[in-house]
Amino acid sequence: MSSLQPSQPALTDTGSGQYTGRGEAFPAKAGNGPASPVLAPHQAVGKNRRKRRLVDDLKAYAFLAPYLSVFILFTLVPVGFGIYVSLHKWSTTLGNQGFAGLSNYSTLIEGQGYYGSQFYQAMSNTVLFVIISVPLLWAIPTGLAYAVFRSPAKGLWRILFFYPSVFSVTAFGSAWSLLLATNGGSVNSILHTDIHWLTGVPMAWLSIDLATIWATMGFSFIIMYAAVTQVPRIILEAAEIDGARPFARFRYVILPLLRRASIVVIIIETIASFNLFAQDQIMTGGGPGYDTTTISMNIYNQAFSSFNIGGATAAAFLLAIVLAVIAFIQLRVSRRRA
Amino acid sequence: MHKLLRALTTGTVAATVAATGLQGGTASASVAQASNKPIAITYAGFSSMNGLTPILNKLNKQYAGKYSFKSTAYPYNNYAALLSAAIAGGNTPDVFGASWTPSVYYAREGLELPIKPFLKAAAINSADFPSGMYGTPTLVNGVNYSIPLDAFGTAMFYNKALFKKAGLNPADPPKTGTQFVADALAMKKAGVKYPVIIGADKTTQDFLYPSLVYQFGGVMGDPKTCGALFDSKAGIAAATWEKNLTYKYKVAPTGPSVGEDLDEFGKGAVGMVMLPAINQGALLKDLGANLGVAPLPKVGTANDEDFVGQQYLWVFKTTVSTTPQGAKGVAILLKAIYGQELKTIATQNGIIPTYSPVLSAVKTMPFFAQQDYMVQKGRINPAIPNWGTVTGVPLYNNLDNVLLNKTSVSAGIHEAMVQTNELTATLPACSD
Amino acid sequence: MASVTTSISGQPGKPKLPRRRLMTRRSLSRLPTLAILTVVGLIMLFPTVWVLSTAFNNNGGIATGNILPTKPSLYNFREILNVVSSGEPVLRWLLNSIGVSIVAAIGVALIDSLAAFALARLQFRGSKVVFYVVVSSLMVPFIAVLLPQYLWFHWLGLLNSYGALILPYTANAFGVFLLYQFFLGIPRELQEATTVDGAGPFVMWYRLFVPLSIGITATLGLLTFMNVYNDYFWPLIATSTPNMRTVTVGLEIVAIGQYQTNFGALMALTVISVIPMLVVFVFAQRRLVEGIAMSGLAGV
Repeated sequence: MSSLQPSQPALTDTGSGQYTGRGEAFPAKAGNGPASPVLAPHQAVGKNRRKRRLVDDLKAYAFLAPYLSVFILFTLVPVGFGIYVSLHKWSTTLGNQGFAGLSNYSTLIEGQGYYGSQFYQAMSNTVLFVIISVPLLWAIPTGLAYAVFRSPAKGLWRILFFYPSVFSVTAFGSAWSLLLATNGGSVNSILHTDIHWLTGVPMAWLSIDLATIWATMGFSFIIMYAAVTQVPRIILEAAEIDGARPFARFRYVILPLLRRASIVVIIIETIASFNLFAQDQIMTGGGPGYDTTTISMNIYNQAFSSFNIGGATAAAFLLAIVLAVIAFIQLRVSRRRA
Repeated sequence: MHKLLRALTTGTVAATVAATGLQGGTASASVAQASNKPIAITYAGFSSMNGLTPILNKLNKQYAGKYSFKSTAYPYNNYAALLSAAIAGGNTPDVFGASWTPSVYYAREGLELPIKPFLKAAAINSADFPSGMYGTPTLVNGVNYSIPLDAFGTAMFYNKALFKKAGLNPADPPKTGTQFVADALAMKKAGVKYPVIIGADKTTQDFLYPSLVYQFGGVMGDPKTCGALFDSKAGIAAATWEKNLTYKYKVAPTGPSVGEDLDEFGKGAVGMVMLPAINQGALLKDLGANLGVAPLPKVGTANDEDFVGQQYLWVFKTTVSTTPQGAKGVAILLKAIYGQELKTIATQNGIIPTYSPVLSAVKTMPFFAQQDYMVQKGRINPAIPNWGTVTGVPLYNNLDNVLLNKTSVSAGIHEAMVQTNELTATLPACSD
Repeated sequence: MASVTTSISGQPGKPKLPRRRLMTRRSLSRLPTLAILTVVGLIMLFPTVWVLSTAFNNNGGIATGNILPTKPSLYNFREILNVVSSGEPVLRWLLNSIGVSIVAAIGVALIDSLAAFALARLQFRGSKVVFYVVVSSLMVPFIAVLLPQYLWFHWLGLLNSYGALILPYTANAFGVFLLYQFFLGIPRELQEATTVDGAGPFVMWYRLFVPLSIGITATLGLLTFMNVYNDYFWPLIATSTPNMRTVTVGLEIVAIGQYQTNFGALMALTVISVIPMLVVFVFAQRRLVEGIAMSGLAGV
């Protein structure tokens, strides 16, 4: 174990209360912006000071230049162009058909037409999935991380819980949909059940969740595991001597210490869950009925099957707004708890 | 300004790419108009055209220096995204082969060229196509834009061993809906686990539901108005018959998942399934002599026509296909496809070509007679943009609810038609 | 922290248990944990057993839900070879995927490290704006930028090139965020020592921050590698010739047809395509854990 204890002074707890090695948590930073100036112009004064500041700015932007150039070229420009498209009557095949103002947005919000009438259902399906899946996508890796930490053969378990990340979504989606097939799937035949894993709700959601957790939890697991290894040994041992039950120990001693890693995992999983598309498409095709049709499917169909890229990008930016609001609430809640 | 910005950004990016030594491929299909450069003719379609490469190699040798023929396989799942992107980016393939109804959309949008001149140049006689698949049914604004490539009817597959087990004659599969139910009940009595599986998913219902609607004398939609017409007596009778198999006669299990009818049948667990006749090769391998193939039983009595799935080819209006030399190249490609390639598809994949010169050459395939009957008796989708491929989504989602007994037949079919009409109305080609 | 303090200081006088007893109790208390891990571990293996059994089964491409192959054979792998001989460059797809993922991973690690260093450790005007714009870009759904990105690359004349397969991944906001968190955790004393030496920021980044962050940066690289390797939609629309495809796109071309999916071929090619990543991961997993453990993300 000790090899996993950081050797760098950067991360050792001095125990004096001056825990210098802690990075600021994302939420704590959120209000303050980028932190801790290093090259503060402490000696400079007056004109020199201004000049010095300019030099500092230039130096900093030199570091940022590679990132900012790719960021502008491959994120900002497409996003900006997407917003421009969403304000136009824009056919996927014929291109721009003229300015449309906010009508693409209002069509969706007012629920007009096929995609408008499907918009709220798809959005609420998506939110439902997020509500079901994010807690699981956090809790399962966290519990497993702690369990692995407390057991022998850690390397083996780590490989076991991470390795599905190597599968492409086509592969794992197909595999799970056949395993969970109602009449001939292995799961039902092993359990001797007749559960409609993919053709009934809420089972279909749980099945998609199961496949998603199976395939994507590796990353969250590794983060949570790494966080568990950072819990000072003295705390673990003290808790053990206390005679606290494993679950209680975990809940009241360990879990509060994993707060920062948890926030990262929860936000990443929230974003990923809002983007649910491919495994859903493969496993249930959005069914039964429309019950697992997500907003991403709705957007994709509108763009490439109904050739209305203007409406599709509008829906996508509405999704981005919902996502941003939820991420913001998560940050606020986690900060208040802190 | 635009040029400057473009030069600048392209320069930066190109420098990055060059610095990492990664420049590969050509940026986009440029029109080869320089006198010494061969004209590039591009074909794109589903990956089932797997015999095309050797043919193109042969053509490329034969026309070296004049033409270069290329093909791109589009994965079926996301071909619409890929094709839309290609069109939006001015990278449209010259010839495209896919399900038929998307071609109606592109034709209505003015993105395709009429097919007749190409047929003439390629010496393909339109009389060699089945009458139900070329001619009046495929007119878009009075013009034909596409030609049939291959087709697959709706078939009833049955397991001869399970027939015997139930004391039925494996040489005499059911020919009517009543016989079908009686045979299924006999199999149930004999302890067959799944006498029937009715797939609620799109792949099955794409074929089965329209077939039954036609059998009951109904129609799916009207090409003139882009309107759906299946919320009719026939449409409701078709769905009711399907639903009854599960809930009234109890010969089919509830809630089968996607593709399970085919999979379980392949495992030998199912007595009868009704599916597109496309998997004979695989099923034959799994079931051997126990595989039985027959046309759909006549459930409705009004009509003997069943739905037939179809692949078509069409020519996009591109910078190549609109030039006389380019058009000539397209014709050369079409001729090759309707000669050797169709034969390859038929013999390798067991798919029925819908071009009689080739059809007569492949008559040795197993179940040929049954398939030929299905195709000749088949009715294609109405000429409504994306009918079945996209506009099918509301129909099959609501039919799903009906077959899962989440809603009544009449409510489900009605809702399906309302949504289908809302969806077709979003297509610019229909709202014109 | 409050609960921790209580549990440590709450019972200061409690005598330490004899070591042996503690050990026994520990191993006993491990049993339920091990039981849970074993059950979950079996669930984790379950689908893979099916993938392997489908890949090594000869049933004509129709799926069986069986866990063990009914007709074990190498048929599906020979099918893949047939695909190769019919002209589809399967090996090239694999090499494309590996090459593109490696370059993207290295690029992301380098670019993001520089940017994160500036954001976390340098004071400059506009830093807040840059930080928030970068972080909020995480919220944009991929589907919103798929086609705009495509049109943009078309305009740049970069479609169907390795540039198209690599460049969009280089703007990795998550990586900046990850490394930013880590750099914040590096103690000020160390930096100040370096500053006193009169070193400029580049030297400081290179001499201090890069060596300290090598673990987390490698982690970011590995995650990027997997991400790029498994991406589907962008390589699908950004490439148009068989030689430029990646293996995830090739997988669909080979195995998924209009009315049927050849599950045997799909799983056989999947098995082939995951081998490079599994090898990388098995060797890198320890590093990965250490890497993240050292980051501010997982810090206590």
